[in-house]
Amino acid sequence: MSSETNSSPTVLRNELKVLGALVVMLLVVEGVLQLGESRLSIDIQHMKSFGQIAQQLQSQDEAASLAAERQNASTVQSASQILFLGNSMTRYGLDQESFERECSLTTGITPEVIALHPDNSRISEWYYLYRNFVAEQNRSPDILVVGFAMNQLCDAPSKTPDRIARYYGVGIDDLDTLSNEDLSNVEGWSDFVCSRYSATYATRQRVERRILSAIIPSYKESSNLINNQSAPKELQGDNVELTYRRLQDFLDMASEGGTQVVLVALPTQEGYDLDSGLVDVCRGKVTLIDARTIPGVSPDMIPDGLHLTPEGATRYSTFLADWLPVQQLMARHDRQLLHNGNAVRVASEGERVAQ
Amino acid sequence: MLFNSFGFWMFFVVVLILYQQMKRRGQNVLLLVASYFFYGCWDWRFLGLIVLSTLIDYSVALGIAKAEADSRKRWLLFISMAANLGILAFFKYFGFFSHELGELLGAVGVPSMIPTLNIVLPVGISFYTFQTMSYTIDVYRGDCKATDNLLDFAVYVAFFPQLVAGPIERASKLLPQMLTDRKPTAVDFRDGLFLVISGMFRKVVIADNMAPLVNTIFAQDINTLSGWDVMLGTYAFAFQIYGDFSGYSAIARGISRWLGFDLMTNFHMPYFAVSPSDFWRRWHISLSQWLRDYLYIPLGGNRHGTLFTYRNLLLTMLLGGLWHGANWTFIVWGAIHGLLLCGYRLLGDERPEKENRPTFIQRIPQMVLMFHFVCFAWLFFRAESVTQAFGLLGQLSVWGAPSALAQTTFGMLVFFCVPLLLLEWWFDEKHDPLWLTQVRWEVRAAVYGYLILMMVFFPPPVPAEFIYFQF
Repeated sequence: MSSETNSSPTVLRNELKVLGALVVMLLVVEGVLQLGESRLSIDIQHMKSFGQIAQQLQSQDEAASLAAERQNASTVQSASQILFLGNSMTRYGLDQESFERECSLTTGITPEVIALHPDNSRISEWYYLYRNFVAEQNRSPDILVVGFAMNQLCDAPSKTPDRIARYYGVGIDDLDTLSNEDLSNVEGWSDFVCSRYSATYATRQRVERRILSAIIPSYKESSNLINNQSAPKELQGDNVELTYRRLQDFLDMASEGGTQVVLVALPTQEGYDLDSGLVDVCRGKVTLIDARTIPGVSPDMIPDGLHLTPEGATRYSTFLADWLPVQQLMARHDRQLLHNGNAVRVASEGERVAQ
Repeated sequence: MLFNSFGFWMFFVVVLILYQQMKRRGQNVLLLVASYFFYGCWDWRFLGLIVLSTLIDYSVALGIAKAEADSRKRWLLFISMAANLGILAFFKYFGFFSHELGELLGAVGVPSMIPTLNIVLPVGISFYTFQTMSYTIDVYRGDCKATDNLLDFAVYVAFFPQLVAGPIERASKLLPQMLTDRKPTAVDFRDGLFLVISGMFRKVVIADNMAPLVNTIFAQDINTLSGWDVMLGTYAFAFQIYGDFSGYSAIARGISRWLGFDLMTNFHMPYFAVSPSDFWRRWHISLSQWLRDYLYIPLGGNRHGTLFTYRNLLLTMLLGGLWHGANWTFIVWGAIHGLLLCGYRLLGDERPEKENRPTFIQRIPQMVLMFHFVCFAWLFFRAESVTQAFGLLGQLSVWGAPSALAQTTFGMLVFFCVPLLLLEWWFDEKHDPLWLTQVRWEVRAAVYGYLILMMVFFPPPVPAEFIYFQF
């Protein structure tokens, strides 16, 4: 291997070539990841299709129009839309077919189920997801079911601001919330900006996990142990006072569109206590279903401690369909929409079209 | 402000741009402001300590230079030592010694009246204190001229690339660079780039990916661990601390080169050492040379017979251990290294002539043995307490099927650390730690490409602070 001369112009020229080669390499990697980002994981594929999935939701005008129809003709059984929002616990826990079938049997209403369940998400992420893909697009499901466990609804900065940047459709409107709640320093903002514009940066942890799980023995098992070990102690303690500011904002946002919100405490293997602060926030505002223990769902149906097996998912979904007061929620939903006057406006528009 | 943070690089780019527009005087003012800002980002409250240390040693050194009587010089040196060591002792060791003394008095039934204070340790205090002390001692010995320019001296003390974790620079090497014009060349840029990229790789990829494994293993209940866990956890810590500290030193040298300064090499492939003395010629070189020149040799070095040599070696290494922190684990670590040095000296540790140097392959058995001695000492260094360290050593007698964590640690060591060792083996064969800067640009680009892609795609689960900041 021939060595280089140390004369300044040659050295500079060669270092510029080195830098040029590195830039080209990074651009190629970026191009490849931009094209193949969705193939990295089911979750990324899901997040990239947030917009597409949310388009299935009815607009607020449509919701109001349907509410008016339901009010005027009791025979109209238009499908009600239920949006399931959660994380991988919801992804594994919701058996859509069983839920729809059971709903249809018990209430006579066959709901249209739409689900958004990005992995490793909590209220910090659901807030942006709902705001940017549902509320700001003037869409509103009739019922919103938020599946959570443990402290996933309490205030805490997002642990995945890189994903918020890239997949959650954030814009200038969100800057205020981001700076107040999630990005407290230069590092956070830098990560955010890099993730927003670079697929390489945003997906690097996915790539890392895929490679390491493929080549390092027992990587997944050890990761769980390491994550538990390095989890922030303040969230593990029992004496921490939890707050729910962001949940309240989220609930206000959802109810503005007339959506009826249901919070579901999901089952886990070890179980957990429901925080009294959360119960207070829910009181009189939203329906809270306690599904922490479900008849027929045994601990072996939650093998990793959090995610249900298919059998467990069927039982959970059936349980939820039985306990979800769909008719009552729909009635409240329609009343609220009509009370807001939306239906009147839609009706008059409808007349104009008819004329 | 960590070197591996966006904030630092934004800061550095601004400093570099302004720096290039200025002449030497302006550059030094900028460096001083930037250095104080850099330190202030850690904790503004302790900036006063740096300023105090600067003023004391600046004045004392000038006093020594002007004094004619030796007694006055000695008196002034004593003032500087007392002030610097007093500050260090108060912030770093007061809590430890008051607690230990309290325990001792309690054990013999005497109620302790010694106050216990919860003192926050100023970042990098051991580094800049040793650096300023070396200046005054060098002026006293006549090895270095006292400067009458407070600005230049203040920059020497607070120079931000090496302020919080070294290398501990000698005034005779760094101070003259403060006093002369600096014009970074293309070679500086090239070498700086290599040092920064390789340093970042060692910190971000090696150290920070080893850290969670090490933390998990050392936090487990000892009885649940097997010999595999302890052994691999210690190996992982060996690479964590090496990646962390040598990475910091390399980045410090790299950014200094971009500013036109040449800092000393602090690490030279230490895990290729074949003996304890060889290890200390390769590991934290600036500290080992400091201890040699200002402690071991003044104690008598090897000039007064074998027994005194052993005593001096042990004392130097014990104090070297204590320098790292006020904890028995560090003292035991220093004692182990002291005993290793004595043991090897007893066996006739000699440095082979360059031409008789065995090949890398021939040196492997010695390197493996030395690496294990070093790891034995690291076990004490990393443990929370000496009791824990002995408990972990006890588990080395329990072997069975490797746990999931041990398997993962082994895989991670192979995946992350073996390429580093191969790269270092290549440099060692060429007898040049900067060998990569001498090869064809295509080869350099390929190696940098690997290092950068590793940094991009293997970020640590949680970015960790540099370990040596706490010392």
